[in-house]
Amino acid sequence: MPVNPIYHHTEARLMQELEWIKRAKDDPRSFEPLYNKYYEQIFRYIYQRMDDKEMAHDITSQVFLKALNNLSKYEYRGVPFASWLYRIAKSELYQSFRDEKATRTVNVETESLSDMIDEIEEDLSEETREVLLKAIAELSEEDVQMIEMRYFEKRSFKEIGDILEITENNAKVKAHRIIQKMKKLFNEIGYEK
Amino acid sequence: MKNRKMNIDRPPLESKEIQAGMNFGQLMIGYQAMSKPFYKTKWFFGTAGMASIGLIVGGTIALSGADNPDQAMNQNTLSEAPPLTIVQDDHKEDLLAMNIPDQTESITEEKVETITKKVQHDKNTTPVINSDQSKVTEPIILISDKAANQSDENTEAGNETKKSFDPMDLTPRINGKMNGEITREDLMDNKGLTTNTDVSIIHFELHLIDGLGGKVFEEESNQLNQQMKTALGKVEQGETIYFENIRGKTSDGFIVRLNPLRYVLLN
Repeated sequence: MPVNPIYHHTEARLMQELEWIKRAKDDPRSFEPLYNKYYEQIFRYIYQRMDDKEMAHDITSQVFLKALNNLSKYEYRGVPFASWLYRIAKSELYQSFRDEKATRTVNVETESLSDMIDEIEEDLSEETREVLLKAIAELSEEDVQMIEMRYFEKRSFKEIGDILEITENNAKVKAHRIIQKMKKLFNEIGYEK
Repeated sequence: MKNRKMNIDRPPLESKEIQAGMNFGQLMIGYQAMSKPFYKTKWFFGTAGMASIGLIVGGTIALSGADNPDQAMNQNTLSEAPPLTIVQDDHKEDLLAMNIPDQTESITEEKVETITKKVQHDKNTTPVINSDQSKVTEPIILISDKAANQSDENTEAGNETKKSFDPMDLTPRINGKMNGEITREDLMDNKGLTTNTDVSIIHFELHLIDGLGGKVFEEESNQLNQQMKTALGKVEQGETIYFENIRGKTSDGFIVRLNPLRYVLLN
């Protein structure tokens, strides 16, 4: 699985990012490089989970506004600044779902489903895809988030761990358990059919 | 949250399309609008807190001081010196710089100190710098012994000066005498009853007491009239004569009542 090059940074780039953050704490106008760098990532994360482009832009703007307002509270923990932005985005996104401003949507790519079917060791067919979609619909929100990040957005376990505020190993374990659950669901739905 | 929609193979968004929605200027406007007002900042709470503590402490001190007036009095009387001494010591040089006659320039520093102390203890009121001049110009205080011996005339002149500086002296007199013994010649002085001020006597009564009782003569000027002179001619040596109900008129036109006079005839 390819690694997201925008998220994963070398030590030098992390330090440069930290310098931008320090400047932005003193002068909010210095926040612009961070805004330009991460706007698309955050927008895609939000838009992946909803079906309204304009609302996705609004929520993305709200994420950066909150980030800028709370920048003084930001503490560097050796991970990219994006992980902090993702956590704010997640919070804003689910708030919009609760406020019914947006509808929770799971955007699935057929190509990504193939990878999942490989993982659950099933044959790739149209019927299998349908069953898989039904299995995903049965999963809890937490499990769907993991499936989305791991198989549809193709994020590394490290990145998933940073966003969900869990360790990389914990993310791996969780992903494995969800696959096992999917297998079980897949079989149940298959037999019913 | 099971109420979710499933989309399969949604057309992907181009980066340009996403970047078109970027607007950092709008973000800055939103940031300025959301910035905390001053009353929500730590600075405000710190300043307001310190001011409140200051007020409470100040108020407590002030109130505790008011409850114990003896303590406040003790604070004011820590020194045995009169309370105004320090202030008046500051005027010592002012006293020296006053317009003193030539013969008084030999005043020693010790004398000035004595004078200063005398002024301090005689006057229990707050000193006013300008009023010090009138105190100092009293020749009795400032003229040294040596200078006083040099010229009796100067002393007399000084006394005249002192008299002329007494505007509140409302005691009438006859030939400069106020009460006491008086000769017939002085009594008949053609100046009549006078004062040392600008008050002119416009009325008086002469009370004479003989064996048959008292007689009262009235006059609407300051001069003894003929009736009075005749009656006084019959008064014997050693008898007492009284001038009562003496009224005077000031230059401003006010009528004032003056002190009565009592004389004993010497001849």
